[in-house]
Amino acid sequence: MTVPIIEFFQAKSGMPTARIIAPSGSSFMLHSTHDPVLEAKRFVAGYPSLSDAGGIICLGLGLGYHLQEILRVVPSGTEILVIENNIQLREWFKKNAKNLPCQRVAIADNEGAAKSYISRMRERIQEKGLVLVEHPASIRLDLEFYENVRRRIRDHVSLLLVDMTTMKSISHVVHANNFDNLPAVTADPGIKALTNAFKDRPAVIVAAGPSLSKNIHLLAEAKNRSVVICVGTAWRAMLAHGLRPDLVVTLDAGEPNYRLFAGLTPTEEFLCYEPQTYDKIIPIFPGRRFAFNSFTSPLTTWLKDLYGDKGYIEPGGSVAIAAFGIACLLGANPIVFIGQDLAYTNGYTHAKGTVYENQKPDLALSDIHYFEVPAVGGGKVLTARNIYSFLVRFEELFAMHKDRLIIDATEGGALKRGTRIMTFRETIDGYFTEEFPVLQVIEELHRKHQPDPAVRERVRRELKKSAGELEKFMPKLAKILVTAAKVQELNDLADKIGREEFQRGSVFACSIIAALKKKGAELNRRLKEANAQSKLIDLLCLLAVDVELKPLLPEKATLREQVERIMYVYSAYLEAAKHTRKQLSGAAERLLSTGDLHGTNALSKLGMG
Amino acid sequence: MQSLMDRNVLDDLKQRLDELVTTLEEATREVSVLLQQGNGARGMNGLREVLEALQFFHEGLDVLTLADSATYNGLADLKDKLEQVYPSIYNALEADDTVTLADVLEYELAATFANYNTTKAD
Repeated sequence: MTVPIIEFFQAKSGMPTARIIAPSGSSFMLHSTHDPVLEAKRFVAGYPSLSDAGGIICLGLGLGYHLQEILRVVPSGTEILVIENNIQLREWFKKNAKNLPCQRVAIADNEGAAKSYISRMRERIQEKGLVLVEHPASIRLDLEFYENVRRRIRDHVSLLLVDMTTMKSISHVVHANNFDNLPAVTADPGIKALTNAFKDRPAVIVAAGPSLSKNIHLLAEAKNRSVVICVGTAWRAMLAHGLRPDLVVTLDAGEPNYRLFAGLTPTEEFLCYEPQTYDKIIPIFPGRRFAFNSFTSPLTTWLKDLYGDKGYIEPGGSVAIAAFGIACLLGANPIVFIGQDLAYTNGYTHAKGTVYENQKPDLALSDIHYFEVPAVGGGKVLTARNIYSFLVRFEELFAMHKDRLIIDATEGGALKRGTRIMTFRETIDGYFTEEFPVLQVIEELHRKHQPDPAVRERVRRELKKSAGELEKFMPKLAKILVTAAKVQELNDLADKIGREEFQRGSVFACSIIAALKKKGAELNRRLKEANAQSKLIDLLCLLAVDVELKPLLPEKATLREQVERIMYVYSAYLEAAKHTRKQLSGAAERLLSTGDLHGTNALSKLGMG
Repeated sequence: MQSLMDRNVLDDLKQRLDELVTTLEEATREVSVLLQQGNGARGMNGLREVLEALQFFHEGLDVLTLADSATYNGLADLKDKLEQVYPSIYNALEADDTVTLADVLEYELAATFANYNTTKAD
């Protein structure tokens, strides 16, 4: 790209301004030739939500007038990211900007910085929103670059919203499944046992989008000429066509995931599962399972340290993304997708033969939820925000795996950048040309892994120990609640007595204040003691997602508001502690039983009530 | 009688054009602010309205100057000054340079209207 010339000169107000001269000779002004400061004030006034924004990203720096004005109008704690890809402007600003609060302002030249910023500010953005300030004249310097950045920012925010919603809705179930599946996870081989097992062999990922109905019948020809990896939702559809995949992938924690598997029996296929998977699914595949680790939390990190790494597979919020991760781990090339619409092709959500076969999107939801994206074969196709977030992640992953040929043989749905579009017929004829033993290789590698009783015993011992620690911790949490209630009571009393009584210095008023101070100090001491046990607190935070998502108290919160928040948080922790202690003990007991090695844990759990 | 009626009509038109100058000054400043706020679509709509009103203003001015150029020479001066600003507006529009366009509208066009209003008051 030819770089434009930037001509700096003085505006009539005496402040610097700049003219951009394009290689074609045409020119335009970056700022006013009269009063760039006043211009910036007006520009920023056009963004009234800035003063209450959770995050601010400026597209285009110019000479920084609008940035200085934003800093003037937003609260002092607000952090701002500026994306400016013109090096001359960045350098001019660095040299000329005075009194810039460097801790609050970051200036970057790429969209990666926006991703990091959004991740770091996620709680504030979730609560108060993100304001994108676009400086039109700066953007004009490189329209394509800023269009891309704008799109990526929208994508990252979409992903963030989906992640937070998912986390909130399933955290309790996830916690329970991680404990309930522990005996199986401890005993089963990790997916890393299959690393490069099918190097440069084709793999086909069978997703459950509506277009799967178009070419599922061709899968029989792919058997033993590719590794057939299907997502849980597509398994039923495959069986209905008399087809067996080599690997079935699952990771969803909720009960609806079980409906995909209920009543089906594997004969040759192996299950690849994440420890958070709904616990009744695991026993359906006795002796034919690989575990993998996707989700990171204080609980999963702790458990993984106990049973050992199973191999990391990125979930990206979708089973198909995990299936793609597995195909990459196998060393497969090319990686072929079928049924991966990522859109509502022909108005349906899923393929025929799946449990959702007649489901249609609920278009009564807001316009924000549904929108159109470019389709395979031209035109547009309807998608939803959550599905779109998967498309975004897929495209990022495809860009990271340029060493593989990725073929989209869906024959419909959303266009995916980074894929070669082919029909499944063409793909089979072109790439699935050689037979190779798939199941034998998988079975052999599975056999090589023997459950280690020493690992199981170590896990059991640690669970028991932690259950004991929680047992001792619960009275401390209860005492915090009692003390906080007393502080609140004394504070209410002090409020009732009124200012005059205090000013008169009555003995009663003074004694109330003294008691309040004493109880307040006791509460602080108890909180400090409890919070020092960070391992337990981290564990309890997991279950108290509502606490984590609650907005921060304002800096000038009253004593009443502060104590109310303490009671809210520690009540949630106490409940979580009771629950978790029970789960730890239960998991430790199940690990003691030898029958759990192949996944009968769910049955024993039912027996426990 | 006819001549008196004409004079009344002309004075009435002059008054309406004076009022229009005040409105145009305000509207031009508003358009300039919209453009500076990055609100290009609304700014351009506003500019279209300003230009349409200016056309009406010029038509009215032609009637007055044809009838009695000596009496209405203040308005005729305004017409000359406005015609000096138009090429700058045209150039900014052609270059799609909204920054310059906002500057021209505020510091040249609106300033010309303001100058006329001040002179008229004096």
